[in-house]
Amino acid sequence: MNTGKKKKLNWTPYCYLIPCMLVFAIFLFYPFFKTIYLSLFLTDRMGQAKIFVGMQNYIDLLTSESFRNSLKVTLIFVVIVVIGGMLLGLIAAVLCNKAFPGIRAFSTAYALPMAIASSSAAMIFQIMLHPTVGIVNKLTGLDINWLNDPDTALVCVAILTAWLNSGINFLYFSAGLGNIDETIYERASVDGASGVQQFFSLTLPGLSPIMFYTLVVNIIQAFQSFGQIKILTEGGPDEATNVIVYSIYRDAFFNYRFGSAAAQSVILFIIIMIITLIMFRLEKKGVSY
Amino acid sequence: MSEITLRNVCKEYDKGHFAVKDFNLDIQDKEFIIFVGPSGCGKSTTLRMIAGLEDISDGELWIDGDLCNYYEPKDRGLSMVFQNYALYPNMTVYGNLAYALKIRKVPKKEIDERVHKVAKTLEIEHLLDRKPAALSGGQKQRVAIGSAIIRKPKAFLMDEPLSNLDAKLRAQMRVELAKLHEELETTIIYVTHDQTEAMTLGTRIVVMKDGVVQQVEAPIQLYNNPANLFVAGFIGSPSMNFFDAYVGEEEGKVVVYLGGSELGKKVFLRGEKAEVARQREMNKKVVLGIRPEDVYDYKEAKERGIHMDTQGLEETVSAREMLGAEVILYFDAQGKTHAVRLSPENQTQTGEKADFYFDTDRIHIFDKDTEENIYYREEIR
Amino acid sequence: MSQSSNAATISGQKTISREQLLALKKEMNAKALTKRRIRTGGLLAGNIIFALLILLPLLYAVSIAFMPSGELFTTELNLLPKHPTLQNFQDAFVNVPLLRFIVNSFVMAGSITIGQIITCSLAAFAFSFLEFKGRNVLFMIVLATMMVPGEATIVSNYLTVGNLGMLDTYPVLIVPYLTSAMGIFLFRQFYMSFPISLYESAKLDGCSNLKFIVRILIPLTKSAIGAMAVYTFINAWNMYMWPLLVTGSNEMRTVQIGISMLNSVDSQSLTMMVAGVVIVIIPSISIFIVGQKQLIRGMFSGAVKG
Repeated sequence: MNTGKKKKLNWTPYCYLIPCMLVFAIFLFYPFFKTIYLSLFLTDRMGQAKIFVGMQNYIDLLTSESFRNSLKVTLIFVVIVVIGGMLLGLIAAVLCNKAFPGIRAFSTAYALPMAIASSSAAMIFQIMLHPTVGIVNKLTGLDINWLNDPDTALVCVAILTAWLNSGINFLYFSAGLGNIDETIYERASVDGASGVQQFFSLTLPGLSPIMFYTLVVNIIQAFQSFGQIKILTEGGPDEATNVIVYSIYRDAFFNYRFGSAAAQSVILFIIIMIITLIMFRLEKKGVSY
Repeated sequence: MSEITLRNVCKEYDKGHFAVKDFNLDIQDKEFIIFVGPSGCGKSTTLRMIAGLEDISDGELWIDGDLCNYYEPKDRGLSMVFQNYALYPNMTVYGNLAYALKIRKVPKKEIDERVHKVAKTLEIEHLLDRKPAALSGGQKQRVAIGSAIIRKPKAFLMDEPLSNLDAKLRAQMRVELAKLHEELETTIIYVTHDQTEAMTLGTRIVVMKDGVVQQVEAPIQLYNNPANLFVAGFIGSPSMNFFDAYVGEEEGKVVVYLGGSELGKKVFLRGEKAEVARQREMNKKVVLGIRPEDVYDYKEAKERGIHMDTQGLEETVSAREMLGAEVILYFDAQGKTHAVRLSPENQTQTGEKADFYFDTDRIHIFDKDTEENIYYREEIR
Repeated sequence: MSQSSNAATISGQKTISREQLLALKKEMNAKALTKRRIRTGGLLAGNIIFALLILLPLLYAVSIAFMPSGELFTTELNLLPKHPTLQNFQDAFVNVPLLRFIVNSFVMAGSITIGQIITCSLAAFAFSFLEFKGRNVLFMIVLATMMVPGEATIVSNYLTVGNLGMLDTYPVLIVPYLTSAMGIFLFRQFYMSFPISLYESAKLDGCSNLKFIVRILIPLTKSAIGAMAVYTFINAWNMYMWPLLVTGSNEMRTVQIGISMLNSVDSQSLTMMVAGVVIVIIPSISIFIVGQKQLIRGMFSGAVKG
C-alpha cells in the first residue's frame, strides 16, 4: 500500500495509539509490574521497597489465619453474589420476555440497579438493615443486628452486591433471549412440549453462550467489590466480611504494609486469571451451539 | 384416518380488519392440499390457526370430528415444518428428531428405532451426531421434515418449507416431497407463494387473496378453469394474457372486440362460449384472457387445425426467449406485455412483426366488474 | 376442558345441532378468554411483584428522604412519611458541601467520558483502518489488560501519584481512567463493520485521517458513542475506591466519598444521609433512563452476540 514500505517505517499509525498506550503504560503496565516487584519486598511507610524478602510475603500470607479466612470469605461472597445476581437478572429477563402492557417501564426498573453506586446502595441498605428502625426487621418481625452479626453480615453484603449486579445481568439475559429464534418455541409447542419443558430444553441452552459470558463478568466483578464493604462492615464483624480487596486496602493504607498488600494483589490477579482460563476451557467443551 | 374441516374460519386483528375471512374447506384423508397466494394473503395465518399457533377469531375447526378451536397445539395431533426449519440449535440431529417423542415419553428403544428409520428414509443417517449449525440448507430441511414425520401425526403442516433453498435443491426436494406423500399416506397441508410448487405437488389447491379463498380445485381444473381474473393471472407461468375487450354482435355471431380500434382485432366466439357470452356480457366491457400456449402463429395454427375464425393480431415482437423445447415471444399491447408460447421452429426475431391467432375454444372472458370468469363452472364433487 | 372435549368427541360434527354448537363455542370461548386473562394477569402480577422487590431499596430510600427524622424512630411499620418534609435535603446541603461534591463528580465523570471517547476512537481507528507493524500484537495487549483487575494495581498507582505529588487534584481523579480496553474493543467492533473502501475513497478525496474520524467515523458510530458515554459516565460517577484513596480535602471529594461523610455523624441524622444519597443517585439514574435505549443498542448490536 505505501511506497516506502521496506525502508521507512510509517509512524503515523502509532500516533493514534499514543494517548491510550500512554495511559495504559503509566497506570496499568507499570503498576502491574511494580506490584509484582513490591510484593517481593518489605516497604517503608512511603511505599519504598526497602528489604528484599523474596517469597516471604507470600509465605506469610498463605500461612496466616487471617488471609486464609480472607480467601474463604471471598469465595463464599463471590458464590452468593454470582448466583444471586444471575438469578435475579434471569428471572427479570424471563418475566420481561413476552410483550405485555407496561413492558418498557418494567425493563427499565429491572436494569436500574446498574446505574447505582455501590456506596449509595450500601448506605440505603444500612438503613434497611438497621436493627431498630430498619424495614427488614420491621417487615419480618425479627430482631437481628444484621451487619454486626458474623453469621449474617457477609450474606447481607453479598445480597446487596447481587442486587447491584442484577441490572446488567438483566440486560445480558434479555439480549440472549432476544437472540433465540421465536419459531423453535412454536415448533416445540406443536411437538408437545409444555412451558416448563421448553424453558429447560430450549431457553436455558439457548442462553448458554451469553450465560457463560455473564458468569465470567460477574465473577470478575464480584472479586472486586469494595465500596459496600468499606461502608457497611469495614471487613468486620470479626473479619467475617474481610474479602481480599478490603484486606489489600487495609494492609496498604492502615498498616502501611505495602509489600504484603502487593502480594495479595498478585494473588487476586492470579486467582481471577485462573478462573477465567478454566471458564474458557470449560466453554470450549461444554457450551452447546 | 384424518379429516380436517374449516367452517367460516376468520382471523380478525383489529376490529373489522380481517387477515382471513370465512375460510371454508373440507380436507379428506391423504390429500395434499396447497394454500397458495401472494404474500399477505392469509395463507400462513390459516395454517397457523390450524396448528394452534394463532387464535381462531371466529368459525370452527374440526379435526376428526373434534371441535379443535381451543385445543392446545400439542393436543391437535399435527406436526409442522417451518419456513426457517426451526431446528433446536442446542441439540444434535438425533436430538431434534427424537425431541417430540421424548416429550411424549416414548420408550428409549422405540425412539432409537424410529429415529434411525426416519433418518434412513431421508438419507441423513450420517448426520445424526451433528448440530444444526453444521448442516447445509438442504440437510436442515431434511431434518425438519424428519422431525415432523417421526411422530406419525394426523396431518403435516408445512409453511413454505422450500423457500430458503436454491432453485436446484428446491426442484429436487419437490420431487422427494411428492414421493414422501405417497409413502406416508398422510394428509399434508402446504403453504407456498410459488405457483409451480402448488401445481406440481398438490392434489387440490386453495388460491387465496386478501384473506379470502378464491378457488379450491385440483391443479389441472384450476389451470383450465380459473374462477376469476386473479386466479387466472396467478396460476401459470408465463401468466395468462389479458386484453380489455368488448362483447358485441356481427351478423348473428358473437364477437369480442379487443380494446376498440387500437388493436382492431376481432375474436368470433362459437358454440357454448358464444351463448354464455351473449347471455351475460352482450354490449359490455370485459377482459379477455388467453394463455400463452393458446396463441399461435399462422403456420402452427394452420398445422394444428385450430379454429381460425379470428383476424390475425399483427404485433412487433419485443423480446424472444429460446428455451429449447419452446420459444416464448413477447409483445406489448394495451400497455401490458403479453407472452406467446410457440414451438422452437418459429424464427421470428426481436423487432420483427408476426401474426398471432387465438385458439377461441380456450378463451376466457371475465366480467369487468366482478372479475369472475363467465365460463367458470364449479366442479361438483 | 375435559368435559367439553368429551362432548365434542361424542357428538361429532355431523350430529351436533346448531344450538348445541353455539353453546359449546360460547362456553369454550369464555374458557379461552379466562385462561388468557389469567395468563396475562399472572405475568403482569409477577412483574409487579418482582419490580417492587428490585426497586424496594430505591423506593424506600426516597420515602425515608422525605421523612422527618423523628418519624423514622418508631417501632411501628412506617413505609411512607406522614408529614413529608424537604428538611432532610436542606440539612444535607448544609452539613457537607454537597454542591461542591456534585460539581467535582461532574467534572471528573464528564472529563473521563470525553477523554475515553477520544482516546478509544483514535486507537480503534488505527486498529481497524491502518496497517502497521505489530498491529495484532498491540491489540492483543490491549485486550489482555481487561484481565487485570483494577484492584491489583491500585496500590502501586497510589504510590505513583503520591510520588508525583498529584494527590488531591482533578488530574489524579481523571488521568488514570482516560482510556479503556473495553471502549477500544467496542469501537473497533463497530469500525470493522464498515468496508475498508469507505476509508480508501475518503483518502482519494483528499481527506486526512483526523478529518475522516471527525467527519465520517464519529457520525456513523453515534450509537456506539452513545452507549459508551452512558456506560462510562455512570461508572465514573459511581467510582468509589480510587477517589477515596486520592482525595483528602472537601474541595476535591466526589459525591460517593462525600455522602459517606454524612454516614458517620450520629444516628439521628439517618434521614439526612438518605436524602443525600437520593440527591447523588438522581444524576446517574437520569442519565441511565435517558440513555438506556442507546446503551442497549450500542452494547449488544456489535459487541455481544449469542
